Amino acid sequence: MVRRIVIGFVVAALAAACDRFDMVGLVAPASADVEARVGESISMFEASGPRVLTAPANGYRMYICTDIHTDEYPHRFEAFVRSMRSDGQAVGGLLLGDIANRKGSLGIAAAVADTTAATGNGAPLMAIVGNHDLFFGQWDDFKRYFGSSTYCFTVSTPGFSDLYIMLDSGGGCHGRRQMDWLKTLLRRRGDYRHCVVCTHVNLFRTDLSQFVSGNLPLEETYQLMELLSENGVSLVLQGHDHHREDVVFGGVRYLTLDCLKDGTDNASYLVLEVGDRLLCDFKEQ
Amino acid sequence: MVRKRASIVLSVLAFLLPAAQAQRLSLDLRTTAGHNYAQGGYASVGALGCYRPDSAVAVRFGVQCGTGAVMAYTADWTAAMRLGSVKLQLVSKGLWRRFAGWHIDEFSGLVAIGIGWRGWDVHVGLASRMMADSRTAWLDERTGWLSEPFNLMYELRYKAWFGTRRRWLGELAVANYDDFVIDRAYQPLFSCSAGWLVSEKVELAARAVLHPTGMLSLSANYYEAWFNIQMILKW
Repeated sequence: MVRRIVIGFVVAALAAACDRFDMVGLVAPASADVEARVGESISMFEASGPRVLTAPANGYRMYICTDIHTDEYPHRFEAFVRSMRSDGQAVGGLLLGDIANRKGSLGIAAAVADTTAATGNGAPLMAIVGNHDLFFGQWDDFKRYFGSSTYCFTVSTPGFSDLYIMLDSGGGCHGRRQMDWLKTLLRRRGDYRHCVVCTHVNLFRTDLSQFVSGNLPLEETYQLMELLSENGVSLVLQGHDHHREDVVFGGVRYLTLDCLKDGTDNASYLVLEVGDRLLCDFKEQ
Repeated sequence: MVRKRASIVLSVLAFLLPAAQAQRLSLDLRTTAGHNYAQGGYASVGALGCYRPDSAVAVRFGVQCGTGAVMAYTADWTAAMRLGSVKLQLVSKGLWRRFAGWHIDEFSGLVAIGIGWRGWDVHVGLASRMMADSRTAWLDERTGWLSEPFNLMYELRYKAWFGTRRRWLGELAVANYDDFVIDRAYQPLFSCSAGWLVSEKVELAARAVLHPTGMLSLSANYYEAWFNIQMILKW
């Protein structure tokens, strides 16, 4: 009996000492729950006003990466940011969550994004939260470093305007409030040439790479799929799984990106060539 | 006309079934009310008929319809054998859910093995799922369907009978599948049930279920809760 208590104590102590997997966060909300986070995000977004990026031509590039899982200094992420800011056709970059890999590392990635902000084209980097960014109550850190996680922005070109919608799925669902917000936003879909939706958690489990990773509840997945199909969304960008997947369902293309974590074999990021069509160019690392 | 036909069918069943399949048939009638982030508040009614040709095999067919135009049809088959006090089980289950409002047909199949001992039941298995867009000819077009071939399924259940005549039942369970649900690996359903054996032919039960999301793999969050009451009639 005493031995069992000692073993239990040691296991609990080791679990509590882990700064990568929040044992509490795995079974109970470690940050504010999705409805509270979305409420805060929408308030921040509404307070900051609509964000419009301007492209000098109808064709431009958007740089997208995900799952950088920052432990120490994120070298691949730095290379991504430098490439984006040295590309004359790039208007911005998107970081689709799982920025942190341990407690307190969100600030390291934010600093990397900031150090090159004044160089090159000065393209902004916009992020959404992933599940690892919510562990250890890091939602407050995310807000401080990256701001809202439910928002949209437009890219204005001489002839067209494109809509980008960023969603928070770090807690394994989008929640009622965010889905209502998305529904309202998509009513204006007709005003835009392309509509791109970004969320951290991949919607489908089509192969074995997803065996160990979690997804959204099925009903919410179906509700989201219908909303995206019904409104003619051009592209859905996702992360979380660390393995690339490209599927089309109901007229919508769902693209899951590789990770951009240092030390992994399948790291890449996406350069989205936006013109009359959306062309995907993956840059292997 | 419909009422007349229904009463004829019920009369024939009432006359034939008790004689032909004494103690081999049961009918589980249930009503459910719940809340989730996708549908908001919802309600459903369902029925599950069970046939036991012998003590080792059970076959069930069920249908459930709910608000939000969600229909579910299920069929499952369980075979059991005893090794002393241990019960070994093999379960297979098929489920078709139609989400008419979202134009999705979902077809799922599950195979699981189980072991039971002193009120404990543990099942582990694999499930596959196909999602089809009901607006397109999904058999002809790649874009009209998707498959999820590998889903780990699990069930851990403990039940105990109480009372001098063992007429009260309490049950705690965690599983990612249920009578009308075959969910994904990290979508556990935590349930707590109570049952009352009113007589040998009638049983009443109530069940509360909590469905969090993001557990163990993502970051945990509330997603759904439901409550149902059941009346089980046995012949």
